[in-house]
Amino acid sequence: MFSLPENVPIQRLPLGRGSRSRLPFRPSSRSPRTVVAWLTGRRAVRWGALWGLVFGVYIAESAIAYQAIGATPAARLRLAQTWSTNHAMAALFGPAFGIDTSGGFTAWRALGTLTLLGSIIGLLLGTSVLRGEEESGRWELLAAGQTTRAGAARQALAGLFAGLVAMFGVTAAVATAGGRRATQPVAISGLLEVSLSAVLTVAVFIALGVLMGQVAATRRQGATLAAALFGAAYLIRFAAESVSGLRWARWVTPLGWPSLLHAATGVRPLALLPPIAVTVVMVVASLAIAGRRDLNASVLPDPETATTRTALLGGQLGLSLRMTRVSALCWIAGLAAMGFVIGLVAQSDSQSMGDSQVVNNALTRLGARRTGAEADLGLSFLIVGVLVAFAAAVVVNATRREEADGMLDNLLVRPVGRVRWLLCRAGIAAALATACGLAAGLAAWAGADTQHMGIGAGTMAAAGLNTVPPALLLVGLGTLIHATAPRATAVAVYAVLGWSFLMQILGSFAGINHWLLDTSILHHSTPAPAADPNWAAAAVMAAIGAAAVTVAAAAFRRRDLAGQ
Amino acid sequence: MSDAVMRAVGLGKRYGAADALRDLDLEVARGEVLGYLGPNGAGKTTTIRLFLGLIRPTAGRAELFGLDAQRDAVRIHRRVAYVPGEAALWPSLTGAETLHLLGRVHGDVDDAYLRELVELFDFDPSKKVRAYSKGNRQKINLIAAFAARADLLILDEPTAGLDPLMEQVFRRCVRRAKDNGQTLFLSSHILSEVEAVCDRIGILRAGTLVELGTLESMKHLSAVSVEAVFDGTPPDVSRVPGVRGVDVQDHRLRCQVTGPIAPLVEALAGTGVQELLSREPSLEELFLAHYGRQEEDSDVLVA
Repeated sequence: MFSLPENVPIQRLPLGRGSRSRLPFRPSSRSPRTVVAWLTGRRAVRWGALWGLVFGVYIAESAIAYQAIGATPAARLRLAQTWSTNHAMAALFGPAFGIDTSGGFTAWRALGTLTLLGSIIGLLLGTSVLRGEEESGRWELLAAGQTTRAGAARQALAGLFAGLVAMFGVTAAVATAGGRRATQPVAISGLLEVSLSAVLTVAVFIALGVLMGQVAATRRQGATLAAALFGAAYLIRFAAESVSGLRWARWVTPLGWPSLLHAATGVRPLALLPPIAVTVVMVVASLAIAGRRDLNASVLPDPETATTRTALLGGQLGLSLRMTRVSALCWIAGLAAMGFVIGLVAQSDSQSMGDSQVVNNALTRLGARRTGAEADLGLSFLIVGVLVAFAAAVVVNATRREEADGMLDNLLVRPVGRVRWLLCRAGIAAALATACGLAAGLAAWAGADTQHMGIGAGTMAAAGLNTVPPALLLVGLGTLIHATAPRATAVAVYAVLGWSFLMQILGSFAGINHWLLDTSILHHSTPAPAADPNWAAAAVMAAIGAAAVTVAAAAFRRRDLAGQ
Repeated sequence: MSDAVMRAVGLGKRYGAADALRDLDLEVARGEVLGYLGPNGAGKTTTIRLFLGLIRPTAGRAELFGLDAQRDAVRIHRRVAYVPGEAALWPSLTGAETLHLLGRVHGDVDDAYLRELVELFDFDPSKKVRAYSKGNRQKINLIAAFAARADLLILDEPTAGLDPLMEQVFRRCVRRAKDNGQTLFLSSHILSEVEAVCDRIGILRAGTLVELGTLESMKHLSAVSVEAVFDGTPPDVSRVPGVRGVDVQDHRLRCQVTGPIAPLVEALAGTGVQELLSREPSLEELFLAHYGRQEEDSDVLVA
């Protein structure tokens, strides 16, 4: 037994500035059994409030946009004739009900985008909160407290629920405050229904992310599984809206449920049942798995050992390719599948769209010069362009994470130049964007060719490549942000993309200030094949991207490596 | 020192208002093993990251092999192997794949020695990195570093997570590297480890190098421990110059002596001493004594 002799001074180690007289925290009266719930709740509520603000603004903006689009009875009639029967838009954004009313228009327009956005952010949060924390080792500390594995999972889910409540509260408040200012205001109950529908979709996909995180061995594997299910859900909705005999399939895809609710146009409460029931089932299943499996174990087989495969492990470039190849192939395959379906339905959509003035106006604002199937393809390829840029943004963000997690240290303490490493990573992001764009273009041609549309492979390959320059510009900007303000990389890159998408949507429906439109990286491409690609503008965007990467390389060479 | 492998001249690093490292002047000779000691946050890892060019100095310069650590990082790193305190590796790769990758990226690997190290460290390379314990992940870094046979090994708390048996293996590897003419810079909290393998020791405190020298040359920093057994009641030696920390239990007296021991020996003459034992301070005692002295004046709570 060790004991101090008497009269021996006890040395106090020097503490940080200002910390001598007080602890950095106050003793809490909260039960130690709820620590995980508070911790997760704090993060989830902040997350929910932030996204609630985005969702609320978008819903309110949609309500206000109706002022311009549905100003007269004739305009409203055209709106109904155009969009109610447009299978392409229904396949991409969901079907429209009562679109000639302010409520119907707001619900269709807001939920079309927010359902997709909410799914993605829900999946990311769902996989990170439990499996991500477990993978980082922090979960072990929490589970070692006054709780059990299942108890900790229960608390985390309670925290997530608090985040969803906050999200609904902020979404509803902002949507109501903004939406009621429209000259043809949407009823408060309608705005609340739209908000609820959007947040319910987020809840479903958070639960899916949580469940996949419990099933998978790693967060990455969980996210991949969840993303594959999201892709399947999207394809089912696509089929359900494209083929009249498959309308029943709306009930089997989470992306079809928001439209079944008929928010703001005579709500059908029964449609609330699928999202709530499926969420509850997935939550219960997640809790059951969390309680039964060992920490860091998985339901899917995850052998600890593996055969040594040294392919691509000859250097830092090969390592990057090996680390990104699975997700890159998923992106390319996903966009090719999407392109094929777009090509498949383009002919029938263009026939249903007819010579709608609203659509033509929207396309004209976006730079379209052609009508018919080519116009329909041009409109659809705007979404392809956003996804191509998103794929590139994911790689840019992964590049930053490699530095933040300390793995870059392992390379840079060996004979690997900083500039070369950064250029290789930017090159991979650019190559992925190019492959995605080209795959989508060629697959769309293949889909269109089955319908004998007569659009050439070269035209569609060009349309696919036309989506690449904004992605290259984003790679340049993202790499520059990584080199100069590394910790802001993810937020800034996704903010640029989100803002650009928002400007595109606004720009297509209403004439907004061109300076504002010019801030969108997506605005400088023409909607090929509805118009010829503007290769000069594409070259300028690519050149700006390359210049940004060059400046980034110089800045990266001079800065300290930065951790989390 | 003309054959310095590492040289810091007025090296400093500031983060906002805080000095992480201040005015560091340091040279490490070829073939030398330098122990770098300091409490948490003293600036050890900052020093290492400056030498490796991972962060930029706000004052002075760092050189390795006569080359600037910032400008010539790639050339320098061909001759350097580094072991971080916390191994951030790629979780989906196996141990063997990681060793292959790190070896290929470095360029020079002694394959025969790598296989020997795998045996010595009792390492199973077939597992995925995410399945390894912390200690096993650290073994990957150690094996990769030693197998590189680099001219300079920079080790930042390299035995974190290793069990005592593996620590012994690590010490053997350090001695072999030294016998091989390699230079080692060892930052560590394990004082016995530093004491066992290092030629010189630097002690860092709040970003400032406060001591640098051989273990022998630092003996002045701490008192000699003296223990005496008497045939009767021990005499009162508390007033003898240089004597402090007197502890008497029955016929046994323990105390510390700073400076010459002659006054104590004179005081004990003719007092019935049966046994007299004096012991030089260990590195741990030196370290604690040094920090104790620094802290006593300014920041002491008395029990």
